[in-house]
Amino acid sequence: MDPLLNGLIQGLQPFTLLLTAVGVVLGLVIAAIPGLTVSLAVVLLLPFTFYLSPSPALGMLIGVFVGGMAGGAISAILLNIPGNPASIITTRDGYPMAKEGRADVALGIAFLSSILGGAFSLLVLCLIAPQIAKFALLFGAAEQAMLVLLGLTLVAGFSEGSIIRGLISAGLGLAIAMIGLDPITASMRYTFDTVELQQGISFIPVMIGMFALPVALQSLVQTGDNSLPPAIPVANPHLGVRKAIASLRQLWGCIFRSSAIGTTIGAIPGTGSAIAAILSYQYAERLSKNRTVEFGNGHPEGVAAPEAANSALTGGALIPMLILGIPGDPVTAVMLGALLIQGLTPGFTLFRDSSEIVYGLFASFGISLGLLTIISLLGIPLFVKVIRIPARVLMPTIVLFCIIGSYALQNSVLDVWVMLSAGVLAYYMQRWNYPILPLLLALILGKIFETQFRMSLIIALGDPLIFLKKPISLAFVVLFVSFLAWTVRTEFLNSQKSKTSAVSTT
Amino acid sequence: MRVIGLPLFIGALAIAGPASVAAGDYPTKPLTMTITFKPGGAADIAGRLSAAAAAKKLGQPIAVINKLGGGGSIGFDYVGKQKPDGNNIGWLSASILTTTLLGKLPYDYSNFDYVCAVTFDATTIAVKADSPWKTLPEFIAAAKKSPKTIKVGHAGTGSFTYMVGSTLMKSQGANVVYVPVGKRRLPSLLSGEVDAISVHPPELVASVRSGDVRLLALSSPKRVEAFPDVPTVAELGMKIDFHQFRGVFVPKGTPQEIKQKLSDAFKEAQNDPKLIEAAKQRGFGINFIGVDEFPKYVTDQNALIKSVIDAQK
Repeated sequence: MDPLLNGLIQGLQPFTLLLTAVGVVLGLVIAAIPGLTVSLAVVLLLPFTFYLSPSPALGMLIGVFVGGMAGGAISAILLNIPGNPASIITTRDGYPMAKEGRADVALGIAFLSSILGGAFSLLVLCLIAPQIAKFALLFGAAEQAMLVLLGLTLVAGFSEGSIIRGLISAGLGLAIAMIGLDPITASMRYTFDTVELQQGISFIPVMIGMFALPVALQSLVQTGDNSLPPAIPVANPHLGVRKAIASLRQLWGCIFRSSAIGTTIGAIPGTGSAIAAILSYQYAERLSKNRTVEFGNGHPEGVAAPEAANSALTGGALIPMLILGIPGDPVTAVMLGALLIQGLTPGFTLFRDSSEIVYGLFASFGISLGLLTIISLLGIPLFVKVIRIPARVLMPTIVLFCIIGSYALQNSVLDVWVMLSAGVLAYYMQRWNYPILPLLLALILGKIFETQFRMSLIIALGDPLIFLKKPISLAFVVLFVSFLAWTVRTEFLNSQKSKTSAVSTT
Repeated sequence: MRVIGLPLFIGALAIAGPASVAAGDYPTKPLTMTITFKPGGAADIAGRLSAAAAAKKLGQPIAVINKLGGGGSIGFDYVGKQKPDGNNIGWLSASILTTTLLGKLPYDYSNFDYVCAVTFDATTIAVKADSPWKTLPEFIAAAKKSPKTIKVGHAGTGSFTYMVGSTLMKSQGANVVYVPVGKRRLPSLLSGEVDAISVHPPELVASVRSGDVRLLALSSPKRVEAFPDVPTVAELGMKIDFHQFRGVFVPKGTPQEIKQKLSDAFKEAQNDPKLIEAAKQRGFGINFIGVDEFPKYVTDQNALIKSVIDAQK
């Protein structure tokens, strides 16, 4: 029988289908709650997978993966609180859209982009997975270092007009990234002889605290106002979905590019979803033809790009796991374990010898996307109701989830303190007009950059030219330099413009 | 699991009254076992399956929580601070010795009581399938011939596999470049960034089966069923027993009677079909050492690891 058809039959078995649906809903809900991550959902489900046969187990896990990548957008758009690191960038344009009363359109665009991004990566997975896997292996330490450096140039884009303030914020992020064991020599840095600080400041509690707490604190300060700032009710949510579908025509190119970026980044082990979202946003901003709205003020492509990219990551991450046995993130790590415990070996032979499992997984992936389409689009009217929950109910709930979420991450009380301190810091940074995104960006990327940069030098036996000698790394260096030049030029032109306008008004 | 752990923990606080239960009745309530490894990995599976087998014998369930971070020190520290009544136990590895010796905890290994070893992970030197080196002696000869050129990737400076790999190399007079490739151990080997990696075998099960990677030797005293053809370093005439034993420890001061009961219960695990099958599929080994011998074994291993760390300073 045709292996793909066989896989589809596997995936459509009632029990597998049920577990896949459970996975999608669980992923969607958990990822939407600030602080509860997709990895956590997988950890919760892990004990069950021990007792399941491969098809339902993998179906459930892929369901969580697919649902989780879309779910992060819900809180990012409605509350300006990213549900997971992959949707940090979504807040930038999604929340302004919600403030204008277009939350339903923003959610529609986010979900559709997610679904299309996932579908794109599934297609790549089915057609050219082995080629992609070989390409991913070309990504050594030098390539990773330069890729991350490219991502760091976005600090300028996120500086809200003042590059200096952006750089101060990014510097703070880099300083926080220094805390913990030195990644190369394992000597202590700023740990003050405490055990807990040795592993460094984890990124997720900082992210939760910086986004969620200021919102809650703000509502405390504004006495009398019982609702969130974006209290504009959505007239007809179903109309929003139709509008989102209609706007797809203009988003097609952006979604396609972002999906390609997401799939590629996903295939490179250990790179992570945040960088996929960051890079695709960067490209969307540079290449967008729609200039009626500025990026950062509710541009639809600013929502579509990161959401397509972080969902496309799903299919990408499966490639090294299935072909090379290398899990790129916690979810694929658990899937690898599920395969191994059944006596299955990832690798090129897996496709030949156990095609029913592989194609069953692909089928479950496709089915998850189908289920996600139905559940997410039908759910929009329900999700937007969150905005109308009075602040006195919503805010304590959010704070509670933040505390549980940061603790649950690694059962560490320190993470709760980190979350709370980061929240207070962010509150004052916003009051004094310092952007918080550069800090988070530097915190995520700073440590990876340092580690990979220094490792490249060890591998090259001390030769700094390694970054120019390897072709992919060289390409990133060229892109980095041109982005930098582009930013400097724009800044210069802007300052000229403001000078001339200042002259003309006097 | 981690979220479930929270209500369980609160529940335990509520139940724990002032009256301490006589050791003879132990266990009277569900146990909690802390695992310091990430869920789903081979070390975690070994702990969970051992706990499940022991729970049958004890007649009480064992809830597993994962406490990660600090190379295990966070979880070890947590278990050490619980009441020594046998209700809070921990899944240890030889890392409990390295974390204390490296100063990650402000006390030494004698701050815990040791119950038994159940499973183990060897450390292996692995190369790509198309590498010119077929055996460990060939690899060492090459490293001796051209010092400071062969690159060996590992999880990180101070990590257990780094210590085993570097001790092995040093004992044979091989001078190699160590690269802390961290989580990208396998990709960096396959892409040729490094020439060999020093790792625990479970993470290479898939690539050995698919024929991409070759293991040169294991650092454990016993061979591992998943790789029947890979020799131990002892078989190759290198006098090193330096491997990651995994088992059970409890807070200091736990009554001997309780430790004996725990040891007897975990002894059942070595005959548990699920654990045996998992060991074969995931690439770890089973080697039970009971409560009468294990504390002495830990003391000996601590002396060995201390000498390794002191030599590296």
